[in-house]
Amino acid sequence: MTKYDKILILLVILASIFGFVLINQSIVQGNQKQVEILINNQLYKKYTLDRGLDEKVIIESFLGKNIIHIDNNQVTMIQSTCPDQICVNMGTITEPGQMIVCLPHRLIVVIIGDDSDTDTIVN
Amino acid sequence: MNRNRKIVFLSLLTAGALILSVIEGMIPFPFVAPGAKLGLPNMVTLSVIVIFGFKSGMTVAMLRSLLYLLIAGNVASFLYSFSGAIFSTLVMAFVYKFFKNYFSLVGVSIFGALAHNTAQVFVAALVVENLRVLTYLPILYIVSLFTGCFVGYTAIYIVKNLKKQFQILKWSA
Repeated sequence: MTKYDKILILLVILASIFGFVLINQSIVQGNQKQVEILINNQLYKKYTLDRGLDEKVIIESFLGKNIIHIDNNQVTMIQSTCPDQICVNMGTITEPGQMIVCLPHRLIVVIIGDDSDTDTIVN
Repeated sequence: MNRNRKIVFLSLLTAGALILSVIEGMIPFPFVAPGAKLGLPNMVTLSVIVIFGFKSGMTVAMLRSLLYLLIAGNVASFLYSFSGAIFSTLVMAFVYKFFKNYFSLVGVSIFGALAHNTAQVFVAALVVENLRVLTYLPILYIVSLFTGCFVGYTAIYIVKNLKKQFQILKWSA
């Protein structure tokens, strides 16, 4: 390993840390968390994460079938008919900005922070 | 080395890369980043670039992805592996040709891994038509540092031994 290899490694680490910081800053933090389910970049369903919410969402598109479990504050892909099962391996997401992607089915499940509740306070 | 001998060697190396892809498909890698892979076939591509040059490297990488499509039968993931293979081969050949004196094979391989992941994530963002997928890049970059180092060190050994082998062959021919 040469000197330039080490510089490259350092640069990549710095760049990804910078990326993490940028991404974290762009996330809207709010009291109310919402889950968006997108297929082909079109909104399929939207849920507001709440205590006592326990729902199994079954999605069947022409590409295949997915089952998503929304429980209190966490969202998990529990079943998918896709060949690689990466979406199932992604586990549970809880925070705004996190997402589960199932590429073969063109499906995105993303948690977003909602700042619309400030409006109700102002109102 | 004459033409026939070169074709035989390249096809053997392609077969080796194909087997490495199959083995890689069996290893689950769910620790940090689901979807990340070790990039084992990349070490064959890298050694071919070093020994035979860019054109042969590109041929091996493209053939490997095409043949793996026939084995795995997964058209969706073929798009990502094909684009990743082409872009990483381009970048590795470029870095190896012009910055050979600065980077060892470890550095070249890290460049390849970064290029592979970048291409794949961009294609994924195109497929789902959502730029949010790009937020997955930083974590993939961290992972590709480790896999790139691993592949680079292995490629150093492969190149050393293959070159020795070719010298013996030349001498016996």
